Amino acid sequence: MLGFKNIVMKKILLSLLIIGSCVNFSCKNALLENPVYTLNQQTLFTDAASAQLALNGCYAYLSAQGVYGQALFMVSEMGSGIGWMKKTGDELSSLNIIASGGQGSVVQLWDGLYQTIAQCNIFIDAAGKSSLSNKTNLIAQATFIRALCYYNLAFIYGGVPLKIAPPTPATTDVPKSTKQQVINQVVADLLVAEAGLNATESDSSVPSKIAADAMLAKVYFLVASGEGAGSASWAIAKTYGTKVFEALGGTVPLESNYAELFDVNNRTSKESIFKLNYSALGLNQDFNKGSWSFSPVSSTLKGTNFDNKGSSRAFYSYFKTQHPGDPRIAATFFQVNYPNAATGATINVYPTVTTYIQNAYPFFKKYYDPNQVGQISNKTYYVYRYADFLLLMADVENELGNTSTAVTYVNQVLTRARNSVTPAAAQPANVVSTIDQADLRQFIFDERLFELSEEGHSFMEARRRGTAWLSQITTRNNAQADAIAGFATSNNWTEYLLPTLTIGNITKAMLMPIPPSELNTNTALKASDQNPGY
Amino acid sequence: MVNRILYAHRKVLMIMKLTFILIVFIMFQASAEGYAQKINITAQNVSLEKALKKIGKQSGYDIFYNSSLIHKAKLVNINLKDANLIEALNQCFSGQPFSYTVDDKTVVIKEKSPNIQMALIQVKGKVVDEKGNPLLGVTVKIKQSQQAVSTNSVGEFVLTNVPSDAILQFSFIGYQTKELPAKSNLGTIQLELINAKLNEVVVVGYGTTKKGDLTGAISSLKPTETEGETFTSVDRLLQGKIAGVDVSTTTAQPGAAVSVIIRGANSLRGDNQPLYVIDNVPQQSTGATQPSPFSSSDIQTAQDPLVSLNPEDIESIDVLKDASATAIYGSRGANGVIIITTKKGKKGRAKINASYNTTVSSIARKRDLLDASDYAKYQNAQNVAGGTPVSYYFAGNQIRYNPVGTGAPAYNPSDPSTYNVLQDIDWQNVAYQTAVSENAALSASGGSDNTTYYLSGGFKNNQGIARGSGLKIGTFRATLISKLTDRLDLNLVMGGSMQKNNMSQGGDNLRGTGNGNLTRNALSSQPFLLPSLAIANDENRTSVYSWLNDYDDITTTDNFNSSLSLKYKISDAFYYSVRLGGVDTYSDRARWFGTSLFPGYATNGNLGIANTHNDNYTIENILGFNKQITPIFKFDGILGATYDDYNSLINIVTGSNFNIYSLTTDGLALANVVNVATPIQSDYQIGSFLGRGNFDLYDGKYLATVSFRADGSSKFQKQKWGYFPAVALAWKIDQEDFMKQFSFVDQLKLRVGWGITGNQSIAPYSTISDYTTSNGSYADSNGNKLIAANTTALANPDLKWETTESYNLGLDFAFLKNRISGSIDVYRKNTTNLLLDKSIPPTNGFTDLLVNEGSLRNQGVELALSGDVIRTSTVKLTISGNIAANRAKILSVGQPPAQFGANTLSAFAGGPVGQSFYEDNANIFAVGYAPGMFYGYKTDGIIQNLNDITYTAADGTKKTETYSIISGGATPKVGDVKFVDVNGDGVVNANDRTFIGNPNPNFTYGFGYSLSYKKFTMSTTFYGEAGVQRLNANDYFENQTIGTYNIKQSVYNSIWTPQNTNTTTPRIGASAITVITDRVIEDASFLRMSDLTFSYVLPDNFTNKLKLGRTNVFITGKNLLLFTKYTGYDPEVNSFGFDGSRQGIDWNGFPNAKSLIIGINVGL
Repeated sequence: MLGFKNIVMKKILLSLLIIGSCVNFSCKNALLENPVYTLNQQTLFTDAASAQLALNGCYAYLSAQGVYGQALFMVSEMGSGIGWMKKTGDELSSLNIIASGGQGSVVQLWDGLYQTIAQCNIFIDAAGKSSLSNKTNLIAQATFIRALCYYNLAFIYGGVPLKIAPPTPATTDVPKSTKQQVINQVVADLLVAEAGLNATESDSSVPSKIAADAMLAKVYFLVASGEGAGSASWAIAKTYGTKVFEALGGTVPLESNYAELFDVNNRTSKESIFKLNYSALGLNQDFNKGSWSFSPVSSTLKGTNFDNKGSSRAFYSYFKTQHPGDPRIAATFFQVNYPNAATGATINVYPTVTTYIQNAYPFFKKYYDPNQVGQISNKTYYVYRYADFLLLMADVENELGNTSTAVTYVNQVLTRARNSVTPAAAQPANVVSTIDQADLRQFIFDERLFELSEEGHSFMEARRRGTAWLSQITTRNNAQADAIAGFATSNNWTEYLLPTLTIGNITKAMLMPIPPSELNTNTALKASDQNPGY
Repeated sequence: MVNRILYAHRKVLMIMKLTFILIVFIMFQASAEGYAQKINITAQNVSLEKALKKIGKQSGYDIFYNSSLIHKAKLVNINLKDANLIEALNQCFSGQPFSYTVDDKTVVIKEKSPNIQMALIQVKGKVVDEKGNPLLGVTVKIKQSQQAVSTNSVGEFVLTNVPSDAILQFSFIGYQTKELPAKSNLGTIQLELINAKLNEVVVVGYGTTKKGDLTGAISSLKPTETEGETFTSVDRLLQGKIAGVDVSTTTAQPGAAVSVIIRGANSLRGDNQPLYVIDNVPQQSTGATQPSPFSSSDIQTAQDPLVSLNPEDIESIDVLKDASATAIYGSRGANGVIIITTKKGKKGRAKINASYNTTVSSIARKRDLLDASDYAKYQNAQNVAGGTPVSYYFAGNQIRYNPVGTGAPAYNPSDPSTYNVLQDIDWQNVAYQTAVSENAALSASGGSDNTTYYLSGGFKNNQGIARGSGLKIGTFRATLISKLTDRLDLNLVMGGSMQKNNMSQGGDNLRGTGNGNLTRNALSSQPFLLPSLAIANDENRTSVYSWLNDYDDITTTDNFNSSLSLKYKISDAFYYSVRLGGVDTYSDRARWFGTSLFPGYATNGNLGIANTHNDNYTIENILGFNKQITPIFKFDGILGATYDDYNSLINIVTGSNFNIYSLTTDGLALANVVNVATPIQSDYQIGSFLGRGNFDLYDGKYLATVSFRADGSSKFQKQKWGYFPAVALAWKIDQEDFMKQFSFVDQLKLRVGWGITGNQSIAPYSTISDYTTSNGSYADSNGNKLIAANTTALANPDLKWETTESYNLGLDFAFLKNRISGSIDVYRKNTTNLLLDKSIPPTNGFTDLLVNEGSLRNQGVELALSGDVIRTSTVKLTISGNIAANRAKILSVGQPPAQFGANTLSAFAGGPVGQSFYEDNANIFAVGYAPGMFYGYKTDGIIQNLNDITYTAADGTKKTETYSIISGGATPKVGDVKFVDVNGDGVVNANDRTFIGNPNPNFTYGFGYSLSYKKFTMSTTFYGEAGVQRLNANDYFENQTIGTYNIKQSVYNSIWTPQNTNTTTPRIGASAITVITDRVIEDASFLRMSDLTFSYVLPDNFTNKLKLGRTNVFITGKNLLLFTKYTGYDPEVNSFGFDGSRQGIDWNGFPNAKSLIIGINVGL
C-alpha cells in the first residue's frame, strides 16, 4: 500500500516537475529577446515619417561635435596655419609638426566623419530595401551627406578606407584607397545625389540639385588647384558651376550685409548653399560649439569661454594690411578690445595687448553667440555659401583664361563686403579688370582665406595649391618680429615659429595623420599607409 | 539648501527609525510566543494538579490531563529555579505513575502504559571529556522519553525511575552523542569530540553536504559577531580571508561597488564578478553597468547592490571556486559562486540580541603637497624659466598675488589694490573630515519543535570621510522554517532595505579638465583660494568648495527580496522541492552639477536622474533522491529544472539650462531644457535543466560527484544552449587501513575535479541591431528640436557562450586531533571563445564589436592553513592564513601579429586612460603575456648632458636623439626626462613602447589570529598582495614641474638644477609627459592590518544581575597599519574596477579611511 502510494506520488511529482518547467520556459518565447523601448529597421522603414527619423540621425551625426559641430572647424582653422592655439596637448596650430595625431580634434573628426558615413550607409541600404515612395530623394540626401564626409576626408587626410556599405562583423577591416579613389567616390555620390535631389528646397538645410552641382564644382576646383594650371579639372569644375549659375537664373544670391550672415537670428540666409540647423534644445552632442570654442573669455553672459584659441597675429595683420578698414575684419575678429559681458569692463586683446600673455591674440567672432549657454550655441552653420562658390568660380575662370569673368565674380564678393557698412567702406577695393592672371591667382588665394576664415575651409584653402603656396603662410607667420620658437619656452602663450619649406616638415603639414586608433585596429592597413612624416 | 537637505535626511532617518521600532515590536511579539519562560516554583507537598497549573501558567504551555486520573498522583515537592519545562515536569513526575508527551505547545499527561512492566532503577555515573576531565552540563536522557538530567560540576549524574531496559543518551555540544544501555552504575563515561569542522554543513548549490564529504574546491566562512557588525557589506568581509579570492575596491566611498575576482579574471571584458546566491536566490551581477545620465566621458561611481544585505544576518558564506563545484550553476559559474546563507532560528526559547557600535574614521594617508609659500615660489620659478613676469611676491610673512596678464596694474608693494594677500589652505583638510558612523541591530530567533524563526532589523548611518558623503540604510530580515506536516517543510525568507546614499566623489575622470572630481581638486588646486581677478576660465572656477556645495549624487534605493520553498518528502528516498524567489529593487539616483563645476557650467546647471527598476525572480523544481543502496554504496542526487528571469529598466532624464539652482537634485521642473532618453532596457532569461549525483562508497571513503547543467540564454540568437558537465572525485585516504598507523592524521582527503562552465554576462540585445533616439537630434530652421534615430552599435548575431574548462587538484588535511588543518589546491582554467569587446577600426562608425575571440589561461596554487596552537579551557589561540598565486596568460586574441611599439605582438590595446592627460592606452592584451600588462615608454632618469642621448646614425655620425612624444620636446634639453630609445633609431616615438609593468599580483595572502583568554578575545587580520604594480596616473598632476597644478613636496624638493643633478625629477618647466611611461608605474605591493579587535564577554554574575544574556563589548581598529611603497592614497584603488580594458589604474583614487569602532552586543 505504502509502496503503491509512493509510486503514484513519484509519478505525480515527476509530471509536476515537467509541467512546472514547461510553464516556466518551455515556450520558446521565454528565451527570446524583445526590446520594446527601441526602434528597429522593420518598424522604422515602414512609413516616410519614421524613416525621416533615421535620416535625421544622419544629419545629427553630421552636425554633431565629431564633424561640423566642432571637430571640423577645430582641425580646419587651428591646423590651417592661420590659427593660433595655446600650447597644451593638441597643438594643431603648430601646423601639425608636433601634433602626433594620437588624440584630440584630429581623431574626433576622423571618428565623427566615419560615424556619419556608417549611419548613411545603414540608411541607404535599409531605405533601398524599403517600399517607401519617396525613397529616391531620401537616399539622395543621405548620399549627399556621405559625399560631404568623404570630401572632408580626402582633402584633410588624403587616401582613406572607403566604406560604402553598412558595417558588418565580417567586413570591419578595409584597406586604404588612394586619394583619387576617394574623390571618385565623392563625385559618384554627388552624381547620385544630384539625380535624386529636388531642384530646389525651401530651406537650404536640405540639399538640392544646386547644392550637389556646387559641391561637384568645388571638388573639381580643389583637384584642379592641386594639379595646377594645366589641369583638366578646371573645365569640369566650370561645367558644374555653370549648372549652378543656370539654375539660379544667372544671379548669385549674396546677403547684403556680411556681418548679418553670422547674426544669430539669421537662420535662413539666401546666401546659403547648404547649412546645418542647430537647436539649443538638442543637447546630446548636437549643438554648435563654435562660440564655445573660439569666443574669448567673458564675452558671453552664461557661456563658458576661453582665451586659448584665436587667429594668428600674422594672418590678422596681413588681412588688415591688404584691406585696411574692410568691414569683414570687424565681423571676423574680436580685436583691440571687447566688453566683459557680465561687468561691461573693457578686456584688451591684440593688438592692444602685445606681450605673450593671455589675450595676446585676436579672437574669432563669426560663431560668437551672445546667447551661448555653457558650451551650447544654436547658431546656424554654413557648410557652403555662394560667396565661396563665386570665389572658386573666379579661380576656375582665371585658370581657364577668362580673367575678366573672374574679376566680375571676385568683385561681387568684394562689393558686398564694402557695402556691409553705411556709408560703404573703401576697402576691399574692386580688382581692376586689367589684372594679370598670376596676380589674380594670388589675390583669389588670399581672398578665399579672408572671406572664409573660421568657417571650416582654411585647412584646405591653405594647402590646395601645394607646399609652395602653403609656405607663403608660414613665411609670413615667421616674419612676425615677435614670433618666437614657441616650443622652446614654458610660456604657453607664445606664437609658434612655423616650419619653413623643408621637405620633411612641410610635406607632413599637407595632410593630417590617420589616427593610431585606426592604424592599430585595422589589419588591412600597413604601417606605410600612414601619411608622410608621421 | 543645506537646511532642505538636512530636512530630507531627517525624514529618511525618521522613516528608518520607525521601521526599526516596528521591527523591534514585531520581534518582541514573536519572542513572547517562543519557547518556555523560565519557571520558578517552590512548593512542598502540593497536589500534582496544582503544580502543573503553575507550570502551565509560567511556561505558556497547555497541559492536558484526565482529572480523574490525576487524583492517583502523589503529592509533590518542587523546588525550581529558572528551570525549563522539561526539568519542571521531570521533578513533578518523579516517582509518579504517569508519563507525558510534549507536542506543539501542549503537554499531555497519560497513565504509564500497563505493558511497561519493567522495573524502574536508579542510574548513576560520571561523564568525562576526551582527556578525562569531568564535563559539566551533559544531558543524560532516556531515549524516547522526556526524562533527563544534567551532570553536575564534577560530571556526575543520578537518574531515577529508569526502565531497566532503557537506552541512555549522553549529549553535549561539541561531542559525539553516546548511547548506553541503562544499568545502575555506568561508571565513567567518556565522550568523544566531534570533528566539528568536518561535520559542518556546506552549501553546494541546490543542496548541502558535510564539509568532510566535499569533492570540489569550496571555502567557507562564518562571520564572527564583530565581523558582522563592523563590515558594511558582505563582499568587503571576504577581503583577505579566503585563498584565491581577490577583493578590491574601485573607490573607498561608503556604498561604492567592490570587485571580487576568484582565481583570476576569466574574461577580458568588465564583468568577472562571481555569482552571488543569497538564500538560494541568484542575484543580479554586482558588476552590472550603471550608466551615467551624462556624456560618455562621465564616470559614475558604481554602487554595491550587496549593501542591502546586513552582514549581521549572515550565517555562512560558501565560496565555490572550481568548476566541479560551480558547474551546477552552468552559465553563471565561470567566475565562481558565492553562496550566502542567512541566519535561521534554533529551537529553544527566544534569543534576542541587540548590538550597537559607533565608528570614528579619518583619512588613512594624506599626500604631502606644497603649501602656499612653496607653491608661490614654484610658480615664480616657472615664470622666471619661461621669461615672463612673476605673479607672487613675499612681504614679511605675507604672500601677495598680482595677476599678470589680465591688464591689471603692476605690483606695487605700497599699493594694496595691486595685489591680493593669499591665505594658505590645505584642501585635503577641507575635503575630508573625521566621520562618525553608527550601526544598530536587533535580532530575535528561536522556535519550537516544528517551527523556527529569525527576525532582525538593522540601521546604519555611515558617514564618509569625504565631507557630505554617507550611506544610511535600514534593513530587515525574517526567516521562518516550519514543518507543516511530517512530509512537508516550509522555508520562507523575507528581507528588505531602504537606503540613501550620498556620494561626493563626483564623476568626470576623463574630462578635459583637471577638475574631474573632489579628490582631484583637493590635490591639484592651488593651496589657497584664487582671487576672482585671476579666474580667467572655467578650469580655475572649480575649487574643493565647488564639489562640496555644488555637487550632489544622491541615491535612494528600496530593496525587497524573498524566497519561499516547499520541500515534500515523497518517501524515505525521494523528495521534491519547489522554490520561488525574487529580488525587487527600485533605485532613484539624482546627480547635480552646479555652475561652478565644468559639466554644470557647460550647460548652465546639469541634472541627471536615473530611475532604475531591477527585478529578478527564480523558479526551481528539484527532485531529490537519497538512499543507502547497499551497505557500501550510498547515492544521493537531484534532478531539476529552473528558470531565472532578470529585468532591468533604467529611465534617464537630464535637465539643463537652469535659472534657479537652489533645488539641485530636486529641481528638474526648473530646467529650461529637459531631455528624456530612450529607456535602457536589459531583460534576459535563463532556462535550465540540471542534475547531480553524489556517489558514496565504503562509508564515504570514496566519493564522486557528477553534475550536468544545460542552460538556455535569451542573450544569444543562434546558439542559445550551453552544456556544462563536471566530475569530481574524492578519496578519504585517512580512512584506509594503512593509515591507521599514522594516528596523528585526522583527515587526509584527495580531491580531483574537472568541469566546464560558461559566461554569458554580456548586455542583452547584443545580437540585435536597433535604433535609439538618445544619441542625437537635429533641428529645423527655426531651431526646434527634431527627433533623430541612430543605430548605436554593431550587432553580432553569431555570439555564443564563453567557455571555461577547468581542472582542480586538492588535498584537505587535518593533523594532531585537528589542531592543524588546511587544504591545498592547484588549478588550471582555460577560457575559450572569449567574449570581448574588440576594438574595430573607427572607419566602421563604431569603435567596438563584441566577438567570441581568443583564449586565456589562469593557473595557480592556493594554500589555506589553520592551527589551534593552544587549546586549553582558559586560553585558545587559533592562527590561520592563506596564500594564493595565480598566473594568467593570454593564449590568443584572434589578431594577427602586428607592430606594437618596439615589439611584434598578437595583441590589442586597452582603453584610453584620460583624454587630455594621457594620450595613450596604458594596458595591452598580448598573446603570451598576462592580461592588461602596462605598455609604454621606458625612462632612464634625467638628461645630464646631451651626450647622454646620442646615437650612431646610418652614415656613422653621432647625432642627438629627438623625442617626438613630449609636447614641444622634439629636441630634448638637459634636465629633461631621459627616455630610452628602445629600437635605437634616434627618435623616441610610438615605436619605442614596450612592456613596463604588470597589474596582476604575484601572490595574494591573508593571515590572522584569534587569541582568547577566559572572557577576553583579541584577533587581528592581515592581508596583502605582493609583486603587483599600479599605474599612478595622479602623477600627471603631482609629479609635474610645469603648470598651475599643485605638486608633491618631495617633487618640488628634488627638481633638477645644474647644481642638483642626483635626482629623477626634471628641470622646472619641463614639458608635461602625456604618454605612459615607467615613471608612473609603481610597486603597489602591500601588507595591511585590516582589522584588530579586542572583545570582552561580561561575566555571568554581572549580566545575570541585569537580567541579560551573553553580552560582550568590543573595540575594533580597521586599516590601522599599511605597509607599502606606493605613493598614492591607497595601493588597492582600482579606478576602473569593472572595466576589463583598463586595469590597475589609480586615477583620482579616493582615500581609504582608518577607523576605530566601539561596540556592544547584548543578549536579552
